[in-house]
Amino acid sequence: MQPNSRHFQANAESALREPNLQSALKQLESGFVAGRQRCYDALPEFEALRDRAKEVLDHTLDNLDAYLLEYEARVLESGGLVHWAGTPEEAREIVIRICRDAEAKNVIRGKSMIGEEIGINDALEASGFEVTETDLGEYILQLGKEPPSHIVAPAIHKTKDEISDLFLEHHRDLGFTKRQTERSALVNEARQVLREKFLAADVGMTGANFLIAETGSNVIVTNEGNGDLSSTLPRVQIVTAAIDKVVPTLEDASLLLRLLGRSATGQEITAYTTFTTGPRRERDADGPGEYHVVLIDNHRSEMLGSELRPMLRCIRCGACMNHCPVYGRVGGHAYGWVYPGPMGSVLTPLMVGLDEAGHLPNACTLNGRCETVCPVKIPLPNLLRSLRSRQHLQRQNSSLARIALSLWSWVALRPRLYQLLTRPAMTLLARLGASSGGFRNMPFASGWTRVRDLPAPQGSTFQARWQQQQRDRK
Amino acid sequence: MVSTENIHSADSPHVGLFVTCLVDLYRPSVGFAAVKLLEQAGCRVTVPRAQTCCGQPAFNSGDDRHARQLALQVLDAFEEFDYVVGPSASCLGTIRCHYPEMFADDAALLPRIEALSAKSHELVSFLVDVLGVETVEAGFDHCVTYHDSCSALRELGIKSQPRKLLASVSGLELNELQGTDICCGFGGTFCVKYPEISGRMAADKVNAAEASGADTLLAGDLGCLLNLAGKMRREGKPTRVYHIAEVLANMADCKSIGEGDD
Amino acid sequence: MSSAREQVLARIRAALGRGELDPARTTELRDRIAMHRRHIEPAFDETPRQRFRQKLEAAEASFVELDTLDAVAAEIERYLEAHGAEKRIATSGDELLHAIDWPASIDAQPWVAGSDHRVSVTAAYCGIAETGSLLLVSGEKNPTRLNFLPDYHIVVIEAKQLVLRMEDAWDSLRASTKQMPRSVNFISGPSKTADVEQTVEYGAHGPRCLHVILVG
Repeated sequence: MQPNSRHFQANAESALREPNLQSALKQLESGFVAGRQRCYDALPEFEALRDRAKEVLDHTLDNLDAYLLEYEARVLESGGLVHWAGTPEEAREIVIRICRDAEAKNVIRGKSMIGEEIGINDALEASGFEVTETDLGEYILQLGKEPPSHIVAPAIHKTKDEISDLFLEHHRDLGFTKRQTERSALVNEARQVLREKFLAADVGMTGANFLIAETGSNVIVTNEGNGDLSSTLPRVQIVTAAIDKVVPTLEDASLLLRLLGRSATGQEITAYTTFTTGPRRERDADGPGEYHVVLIDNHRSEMLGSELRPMLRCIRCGACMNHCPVYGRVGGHAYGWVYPGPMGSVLTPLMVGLDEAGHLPNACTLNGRCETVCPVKIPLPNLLRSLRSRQHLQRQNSSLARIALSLWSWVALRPRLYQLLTRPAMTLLARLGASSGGFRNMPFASGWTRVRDLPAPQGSTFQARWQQQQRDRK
Repeated sequence: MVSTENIHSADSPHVGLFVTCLVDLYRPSVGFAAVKLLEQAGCRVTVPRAQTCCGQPAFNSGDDRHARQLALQVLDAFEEFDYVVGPSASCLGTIRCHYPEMFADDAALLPRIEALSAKSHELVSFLVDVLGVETVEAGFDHCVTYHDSCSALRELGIKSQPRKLLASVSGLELNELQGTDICCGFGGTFCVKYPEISGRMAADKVNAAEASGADTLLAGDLGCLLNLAGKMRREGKPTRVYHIAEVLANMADCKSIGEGDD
Repeated sequence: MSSAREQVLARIRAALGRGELDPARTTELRDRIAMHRRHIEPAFDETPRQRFRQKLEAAEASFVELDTLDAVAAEIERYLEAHGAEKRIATSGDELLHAIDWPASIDAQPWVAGSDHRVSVTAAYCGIAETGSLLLVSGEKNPTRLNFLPDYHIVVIEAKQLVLRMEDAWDSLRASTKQMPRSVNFISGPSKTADVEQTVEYGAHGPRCLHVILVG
């Protein structure tokens, strides 16, 4: 997917004018946010779990090479293969090679964000494979040729009407000639269409919520069961996973699973949690004959060595975006790439470049709601702030803002000058605004006055009045 | 007003008032309200002259060099006091939570910075948590709603303290705001860099304030208050806007924020 | 050894500011794995049985409790009739199900490749009370697809197979097999999706209905 993050401002403004998107986003508070809160209130151990999860993941990251090697060894023992990819290009080449070697035609995919990150669908299609997303949300987006707008609920921005139209357009040739308008009928139609795809697929691709060093397993968490069918029915399974997905043991994964569903959708556990280890065993009744894991770095080792390391704890629950007031107003597409919201605003600049995604770390009020709900306690505001520091050092932020802020700091570092300048300035401003109480337009403050008035100050400054009072008292 | 330095004995806590630049420039009455509340609670209050800005705008914009310089200016001006107190969770949150981060690599300065941070408090939480104030002598015959600033809620853990003191204000009725943990859209430079998003956030907050049935909105941070008062005016809402300190100090007889003569 | 592998590992080590871990540290980490240290295990007040049922029912699974295996066939017949489902079912080869004496009115066949049934009956490896999850494992007699392809998935589990938490299931699995089964499925309700306007619909890809029969 081509990043479009440099147009965040324009993307956001058009999103704000999109009524369907706005009503979908309004549901976040009563849906995911309220659901997480219910889970939180029902589990006294929630905070202790967060602390322990952070500890376990930090330990894992400190020993990442060792745990990856343990994981790799267990996969090999179970009859699977592990492929390492430094870049998205390498990952795509590996996947395509596996599909070619398997003489595959049809590839089905269980939802995975790393698949979006490496752009696997376009690459497979360009190589002549038929690719079908099987997560309902992802499938809808595939039909609509759109990127996901949320990492857990990718089609959150689509209305039922739009889905009805898309299904009619794409399923008519398959014999579904009636435009369905009921939710249940739409779900059922997708079930029938995709069931055929499942049964015809040669390769099933999934991501991994976790990789387990102890056993060489990958874990996927779904409600639909699509990831599980993708792991079970085709003759080849390919797991694409980032290197930061590994955890040491099944117990460690259990700890994180207690946090994942609760933080993501307000579920104590999803309908399906599946641990897959290697290809089908010799005597197994079913399962794929080949099992491949593609381990992908894509800048994660770079993060590991920087102040952004805590980001690698992310378990992709989406709580940060559900609770983000900016995401909640503009939705995921405005961010212009695969990962939206607070976690995306940290990841995107690292993966597509700070010059492309320079807006993202700044499009945040640093209100910190994301950090308080992050199940693995990633200090998202601090990470965004440190990206701003990088921008400042690289002089990538807007020159006007730099000059204005530097000027402010320069004056603020000289209290006498500051007081000399501010008192007459505020007195003048107060006088100009006294009768109306505020300003509808203000030169050099159009960013402020475009959407709100600038209230008039009271006049003079506190310092001036205080000094005067002290003098009067003597 | 009588100088506190005369009426309090030497062993009353000596507070350096961190006025904050927004109060200094925009609403001096909040500074006077803070002094009055601190004095009533038995503090000796001094307002150091050599104070301007805590450095948060620079810090949040990635200008770490200036942020550190401003932090050192605050350190020099306030190190001598028993406490540093100011009518803003945003600024005091910067001093309390972020100054130590700024100097994490500076072994020489860090102990001094940490000592400063440890004794720095937002006004209302200082009154309640440190001084044990239970009630205030004030009256305000209005139905109010209270906006929690994000730094108050999440950096400093301030939620019950303002409500406790507001409950003691005679005549005051508090209607809670729906979505009180959601940002109002100020966010420092965010509000001018992304005005459309900020404006929508402010509009939602203004609508929530109206829906609460309150005629007055209070908060403890002037950044939020200017944003919300400005949005109220723009949307033609009648809700009046005050800093909580003005109400608690019984000094809300002045014009509300953004109120004109006409 | 692929060069990408060496490069990724080298970058990780550089980021961590060290070379390859020394053997002693590697042994420590292997020991950490082998300890299977449990973390925080949330407390609950209900009995495991109550909890198991409550959680599954909250997730829209249907649930019955029977005293003996003898009653299972009749319960399944009742269930299929109540749902208007065909009485042609695929069963897993699990030994627990061998004890079921199918009446002539039900066509129950062990699954074979290529068969296409709308109803499956399988046995759980164990049940997890904390989350209300059935744990099913793949194997010679247990095709994983029976857990996902049919419209109706009926799971038989004996009360003695209930454990408190996931961690207990891991210990039990470790004790019973040398290697993780190829597929370990935690099933905690019927298939569902909320991808259309954030509203839950059941029967997305997996079973539309999950029926749990707890015996004993």
